[in-house]
Amino acid sequence: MRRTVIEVVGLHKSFGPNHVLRGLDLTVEKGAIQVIIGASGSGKSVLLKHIIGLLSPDAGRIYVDGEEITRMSPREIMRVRKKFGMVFQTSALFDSLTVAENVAFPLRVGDRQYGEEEIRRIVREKLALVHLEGVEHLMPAELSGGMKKRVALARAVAHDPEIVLYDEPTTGLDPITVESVNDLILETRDRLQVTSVVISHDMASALYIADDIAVLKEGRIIFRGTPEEIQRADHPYVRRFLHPRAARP
Amino acid sequence: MGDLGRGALRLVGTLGDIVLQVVADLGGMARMGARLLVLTIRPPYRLRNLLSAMEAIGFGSLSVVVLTAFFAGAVFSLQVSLAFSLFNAETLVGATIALSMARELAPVLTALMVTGRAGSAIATELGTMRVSEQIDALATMAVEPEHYLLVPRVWAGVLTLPLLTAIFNLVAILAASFVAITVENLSVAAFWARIPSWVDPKDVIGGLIKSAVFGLILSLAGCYKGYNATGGARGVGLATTQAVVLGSVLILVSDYLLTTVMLPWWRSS
Repeated sequence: MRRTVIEVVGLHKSFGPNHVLRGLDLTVEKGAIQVIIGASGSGKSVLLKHIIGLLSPDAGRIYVDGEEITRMSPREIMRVRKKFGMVFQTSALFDSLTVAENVAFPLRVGDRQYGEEEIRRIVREKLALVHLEGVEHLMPAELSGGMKKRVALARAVAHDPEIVLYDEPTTGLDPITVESVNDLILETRDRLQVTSVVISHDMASALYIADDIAVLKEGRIIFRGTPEEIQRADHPYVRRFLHPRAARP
Repeated sequence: MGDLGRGALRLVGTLGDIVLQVVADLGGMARMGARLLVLTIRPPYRLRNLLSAMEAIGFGSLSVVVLTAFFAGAVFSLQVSLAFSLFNAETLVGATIALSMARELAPVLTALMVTGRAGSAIATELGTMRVSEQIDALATMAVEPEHYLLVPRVWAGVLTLPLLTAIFNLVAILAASFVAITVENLSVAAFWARIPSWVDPKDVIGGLIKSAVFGLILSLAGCYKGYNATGGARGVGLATTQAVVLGSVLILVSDYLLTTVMLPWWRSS
């Protein structure tokens, strides 16, 4: 049995009167691709921001590698964050920096001192991992949506994190780019042996890349299983995600 | 209740909202300022970020400051020359302009121009970074965004404004002397003679201290509004406008308070 690297217990979060997370429980195993699927506004991004310590819960606990991050000081959370890389829905590339400077950024601000030659080598290596070469000098504004996602992934894995979080990685992309991003998520896991947490509302992508899928509704996980189990599920909400047209009355 | 009563009530309500918003902003800025002070002494010290912010605020604002200084000096010279010629006090023109510039006009006009140019740019840049998740991205890389983004910008404001104010003083007095001598036919000696005896180094230093405070206000207002921007492009636009309005109002109010505090010092010989 694989080791649990992330454990979320009874997570609650409200924004004013909006109770977004309502006692959410989740475990993520080392090396797995865990997809969390849910409709817009179901609390997926909020959950992801809790896992990396960008938001504090109203109640509940989150453990990363056995350490409870919900009780940590901001400085201790910074230490734990070094285990993570994150790919944002909007890519969140620094628009005043070139592609190479974006990918090099986690290396320059981290604890370890890298030489300039080493940084250049790592940037080339990570861009090659996402099948991008010769774009080092370009600015983010000069890239297509798919290229931005690739650069964001290269930046997220530049410092060799143990866990990569993906926030809606395929949203807003054309079907061909969606396929290539999905392949990249699989390839990144296989080549770097990272644990991946992907939040999405794209069931086709989830079925393709996931080891385990958790379905989020109204702030709770209402169903969990492998892609095969999800496809066999008779839960009405899960079936609506699988077959949105057929489920309509 | 008649229309007049309802209108008056609405006016009072609106004024109340504005006062509450200003108080909330002041509190938020004070909290942010205190936090940035703590973060300033915490390593790593990012000198490159500070120099880059100083270049953006200082060098970027130089042309607009020089232009403002030139015309402020020139117009002030015309007005003062005309007024003083009415009672044959032309020899006081240079000293009056130099004193007004050093104590008030240079720090205030420089700060207002830099607020419009650099304070708004700070709010826009940070606001865009906030709504496009770039600030969250920084945090996920174990970088404290406030330490990385805000500390250099606020210190750049504090350090750069006195330099720009000194340049304003110089350009304005040269422009004033040029206009007084060429347009108003004052002699070079008449313009410059009284300046050394009227203008004390304390006047200039007081003005530069004021400008450092104004630099803190305008950069902190830009950082506070930009960093807390929400709601996409509209939110960024709103944050930018609010940063300029808040910065400008606080500069004018603090100028009065600082002048009140400095007057006894300036008066002492």
